[in-house]
Amino acid sequence: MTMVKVEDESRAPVKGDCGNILRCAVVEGDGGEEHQRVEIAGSVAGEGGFLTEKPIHDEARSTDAPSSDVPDPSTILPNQLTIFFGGKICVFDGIPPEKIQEILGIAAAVVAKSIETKNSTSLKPVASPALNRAPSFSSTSTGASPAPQSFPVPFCRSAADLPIARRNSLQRFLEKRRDRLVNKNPYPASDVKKTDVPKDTASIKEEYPIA
Amino acid sequence: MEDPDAKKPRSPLGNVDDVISIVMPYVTDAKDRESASLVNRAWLRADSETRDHVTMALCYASSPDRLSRRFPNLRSIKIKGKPRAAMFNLIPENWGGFVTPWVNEIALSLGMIRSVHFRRMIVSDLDLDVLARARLDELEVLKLDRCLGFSTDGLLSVVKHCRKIKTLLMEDSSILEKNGDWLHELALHNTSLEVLNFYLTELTKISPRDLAAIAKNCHRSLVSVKISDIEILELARFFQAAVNLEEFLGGTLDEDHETPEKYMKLKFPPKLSSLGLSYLGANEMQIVFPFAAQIRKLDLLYVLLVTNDHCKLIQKCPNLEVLETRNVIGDKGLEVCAKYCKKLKRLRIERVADGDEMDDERRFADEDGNEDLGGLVTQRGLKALAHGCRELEYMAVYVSDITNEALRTIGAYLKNLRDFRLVLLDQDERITEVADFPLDKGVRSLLMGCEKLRRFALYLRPGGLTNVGLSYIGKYSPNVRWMLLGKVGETDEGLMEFSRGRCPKQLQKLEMRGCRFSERAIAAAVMELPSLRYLWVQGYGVSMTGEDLRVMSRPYWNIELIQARRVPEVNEMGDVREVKHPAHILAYYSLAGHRTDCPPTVRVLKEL
Repeated sequence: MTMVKVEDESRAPVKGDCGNILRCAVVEGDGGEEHQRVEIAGSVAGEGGFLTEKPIHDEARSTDAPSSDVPDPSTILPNQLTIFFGGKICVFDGIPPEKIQEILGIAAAVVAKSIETKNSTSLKPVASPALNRAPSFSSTSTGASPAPQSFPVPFCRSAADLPIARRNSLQRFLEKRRDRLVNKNPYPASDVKKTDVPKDTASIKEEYPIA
Repeated sequence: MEDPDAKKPRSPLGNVDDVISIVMPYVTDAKDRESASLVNRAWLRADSETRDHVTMALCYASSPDRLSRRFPNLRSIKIKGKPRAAMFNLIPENWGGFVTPWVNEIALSLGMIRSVHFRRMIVSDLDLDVLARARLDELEVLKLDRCLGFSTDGLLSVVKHCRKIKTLLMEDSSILEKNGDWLHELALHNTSLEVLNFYLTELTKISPRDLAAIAKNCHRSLVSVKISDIEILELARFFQAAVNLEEFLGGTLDEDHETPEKYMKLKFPPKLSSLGLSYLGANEMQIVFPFAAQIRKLDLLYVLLVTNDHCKLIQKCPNLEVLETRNVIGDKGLEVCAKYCKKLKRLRIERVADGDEMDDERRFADEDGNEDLGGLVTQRGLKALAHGCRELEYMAVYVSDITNEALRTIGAYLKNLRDFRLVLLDQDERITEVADFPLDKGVRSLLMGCEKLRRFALYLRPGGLTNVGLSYIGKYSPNVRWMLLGKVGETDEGLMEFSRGRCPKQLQKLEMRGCRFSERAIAAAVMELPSLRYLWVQGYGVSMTGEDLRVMSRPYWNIELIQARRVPEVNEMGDVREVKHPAHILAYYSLAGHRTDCPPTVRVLKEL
């Protein structure tokens, strides 16, 4: 399963039922840098239903990154995502197709959830096992359960889509190992090809000394 | 001397029933006991009163009071809760498996309990306190194995009340850490400790001085210590004091460019034969060379070694019997194993993760340049193992490629294999050959050849095993008790062929994942398998209601559904993403009726 990072620092987080999952902003037609909150409302027309690909100049994307060139309106960029809602247009460049699918999936779930009446409030991110191993309920409770985190969305994916599950203990190790690597070598070369790999990690450190 | 008033003739040896009560304690095998208890009421009583240990494979299969009524003099108990899939983050954390009713029963009725082992269960501090106060100094063994829900306060209570504890294990448990008082308390008062294990926990408030004190006080008995990530340089005094230590796993090393020799002066206990040092790197590897020849068990799951490092280390361990590592060992490393480790009995090769994590592994990649099969285990390595390590009894491997020939070779040579598990990873870009699919014939050969096989797992890719291949598994697994089938078969027909006629008659526990069978087919197959008492399925043809599963409705058979979920998870970058978890079926025999402690995500399929 690909990790989905719906990231874009210039976007404001969406409040409400979505929690922190979806971030997007509004691009006014004149390219102003206003950002507004977005709510996905109404019915989801299914995959690719209400989404079109439409090149629109996007200047407010990021204050850090250089602004993208104006694309030729006659070309449709394959990784451009446009969301129409409530009279506004929301455009993202450079989103890989699988992320688009994820966003669609999340939107579907949000709509499904907004229809149901539930006791649970906003989505509470559950810490992954590596990040936080505190139990999710008090240590003196026996049968107490946390806020339900399930959405009975009928799941019609092909069974073969199931990725091989990872063992918790190994997953934690791999994340800790990565932390160690990042701490020791925060700014590695952009592409570490096989032939470029030095003989051992010691020489990596020689090239990138820790200040 | 015969009693002249006896109404019935007596043999010179006395009543058979008297004899059996003396003989029964010597019958230790659980299956034998089971058979003996069915003979008549006297034999049942003899078994009940003298049964020493019970393992409950699923806590919901019976009730605590039934257990204590049947076996009032139990000394040792092992209870398992969550499905095995919980170790892979597939089961809701609050699914169930609460130890509370069991602990309460122990406190109330099981006054002889000395050893308690909870596996994949939910344990609270209160539970630990109740248990500790009930058993006090008589509790010798406590294993909280992959449990969650308790804190170091609970541990402190155990250590305070159970002063003669010999084994304290909490491996891979999720513990709320408040302080290190529990360890300090052990250091102050315990002199009988044999096994201390908090491996794979995130406990950090561990004082090396306390560890050293424990080693000193318990130096006669302490044989196995497995710890969390504590710098091993701080354990010098501990190692010095633990003169009888045979097993040490965990700790952490921190390669420091300033002082590359800092680990060289570390002295290990003289009898150390089982070892695993987390984050061990190539430079430090040599610290184990002096005693490599006596190493019988090696845990390389959490080390920072590349393929060639594995080769260098393993060839120095001719007495190696147990090896656990990741697939970075590669075919090359397995060939070294085959050449040098003739006594190898257990081999487990886990996988490195995909995507970004694979890059980490590659960054450690060896200097062989083009010939980079480091990090991949394929048929080449397995064939070498089959030829070289004939003593293998347990083999669990994640492979990047596999052929029929390799499976055939395993069947031909590894006649001692009791437990075989193969997972075929997703297509790796470095594997250029087309997969040798289907693996039907190879699987058949393996099953026919490994006659002692009791546990079998096969997790492939679509196309890896046809319906015919699945029927082979059914026909040629007469002794298999547990099976995991992943992405095998093609249609419901395959499952029918697997379960009908000559089917795995001894199959007690079946797990299936990612196989495209319908609920109806699954239920029908269950009805055909005579010994099946536990079923777990994920990734199947889910219907809206699950009604087709009623095909397997029968008395004492609980059917539960874990609903499809979208679980928001935070990854290490701080991003929130939703992970999809498809529905599960869990079905099992129970004398205790339906569960009454289900969380919202678990739905019991009740009788109509």
